Amino acid sequence: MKSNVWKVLILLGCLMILAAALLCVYNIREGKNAGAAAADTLSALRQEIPEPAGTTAVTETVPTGEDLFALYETTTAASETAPPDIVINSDAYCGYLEIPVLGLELPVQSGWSYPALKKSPCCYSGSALTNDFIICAHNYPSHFGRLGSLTTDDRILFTDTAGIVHTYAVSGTEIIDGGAVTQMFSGQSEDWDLTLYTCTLGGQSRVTVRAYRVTDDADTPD
Amino acid sequence: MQKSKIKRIAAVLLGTGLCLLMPIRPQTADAAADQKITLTCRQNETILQGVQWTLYEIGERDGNEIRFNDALASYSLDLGDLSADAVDTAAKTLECYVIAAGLQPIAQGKTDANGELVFDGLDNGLYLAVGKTLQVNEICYFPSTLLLEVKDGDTGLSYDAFPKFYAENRSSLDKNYIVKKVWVDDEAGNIARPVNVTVDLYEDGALRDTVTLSDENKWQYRWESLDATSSWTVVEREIPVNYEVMIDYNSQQYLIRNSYKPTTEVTTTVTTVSAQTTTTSAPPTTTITTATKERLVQTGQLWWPVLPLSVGGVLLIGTGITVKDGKKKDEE
Repeated sequence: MKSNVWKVLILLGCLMILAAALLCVYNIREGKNAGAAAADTLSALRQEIPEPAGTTAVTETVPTGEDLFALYETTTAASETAPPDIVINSDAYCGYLEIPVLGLELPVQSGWSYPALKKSPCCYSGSALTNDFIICAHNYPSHFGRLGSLTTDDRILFTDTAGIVHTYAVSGTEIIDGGAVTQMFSGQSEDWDLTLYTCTLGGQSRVTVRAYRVTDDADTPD
Repeated sequence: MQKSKIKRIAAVLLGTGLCLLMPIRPQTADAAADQKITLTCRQNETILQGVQWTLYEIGERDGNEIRFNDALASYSLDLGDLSADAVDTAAKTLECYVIAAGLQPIAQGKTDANGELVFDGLDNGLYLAVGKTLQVNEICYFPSTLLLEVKDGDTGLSYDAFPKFYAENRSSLDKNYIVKKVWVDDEAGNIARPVNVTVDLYEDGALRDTVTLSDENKWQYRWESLDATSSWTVVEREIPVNYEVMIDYNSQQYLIRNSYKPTTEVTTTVTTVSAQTTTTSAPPTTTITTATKERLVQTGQLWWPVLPLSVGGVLLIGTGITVKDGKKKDEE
């Protein structure tokens, strides 16, 4: 019996290393598949979306002079011009995201579910028009895996299904506990207009990037 | 000189707003009937003689609340906090509904050669002074409407008010007006709005036109070729249930703002409306899955077991090799 102990130990050790290797392979393949799925969808989505308008949909909300209506133009525009989703392969998309610094271009689904997250980033809450947009995605390298490397003033662009480009600048990055839902929503529409988040490698916390809306290449928030 | 005038005007307007926030003191009948308001109308150095003013008594203060006269009591008006910044808009809102309600003025008069007009013999209460556009040669002077409170004073029961005017050349006046309706504080999808509202346009107190605002015309309407020297006001004829209305205007625009203010007896999910008004839900927002409030979405791959599995595997293999070596040594 004792003579076989070392064999059992080595066998178990090999099995554990094999399991780790298989898990790595699975994760890498899943990430690649997710990246490929997102790329295919993005290609289809681009064909459906009109040429980018190049300007943000929401304009300055401060009334100018005696214009009584200016203060309410944003609200009206938000409620009246919310573009319809585009359905591709039975999934509804609200636009696509570009992060030039990371070389990322990803479609964004208008609702989230775990199967949906395997294909593309998803809208978790809010919208670009209401300046409380939260997008979540898996931490695949092809999705939000490198989100934590974004730095202040890096540009993020979201093009909605009407072709309107919403431009944001990163204001900061934070790590939020997975159960801190209130903290995720804290400061919306005031401190930030867009939030992107994904899991840390450990899965217990969320790498969270906050961004504010800018007008084209302006350096100051609207 | 000019600065001192501006300061005086600002002080009066600010004082008006602050007075409205102060609790009213018990009045004595003898003192009350002896009070007066003096309107002084000047634009820069120009004395504005002949400005016609109409004075309405609209109600009285009751603590921090305003108790309107019967003619106005049925309207749900949004007068803001009646601070100095908000009192102008409150006055405009009241002006529109005073005219629509057909409230009878208590006094009327024109400014004299000094640009002054005195309303005397007033009781304690809230008054609205509405001026009419004055044309001098080719210049039109548009007076601001004043909301004033008269209450007991220690001595000299007189209140001086300095209405603001804006002047414009008659030939350059825009005779087109746009009315726009906005909804605020009712973004929740379960709140019902009327599918349309009726807006009445009054010219110098007489009904001139009625239009319907709805989604179809994007809640706005444009009147063209109106007489710019007339006093034009608009009202929302039926204020939607659970809403308050505020009306603001300038030389070209009328803004009708409905704020959602449910009564305490009505929950936000109740969408009761009057029998004459058809309702619909607020425009649906983008269909987005409601975010869970328990825990954020799990967006990580299963990477964490890789390290313990690898380390554990290496340790087990190392232990196995050690055991094997030990066994060999034992055998030797």
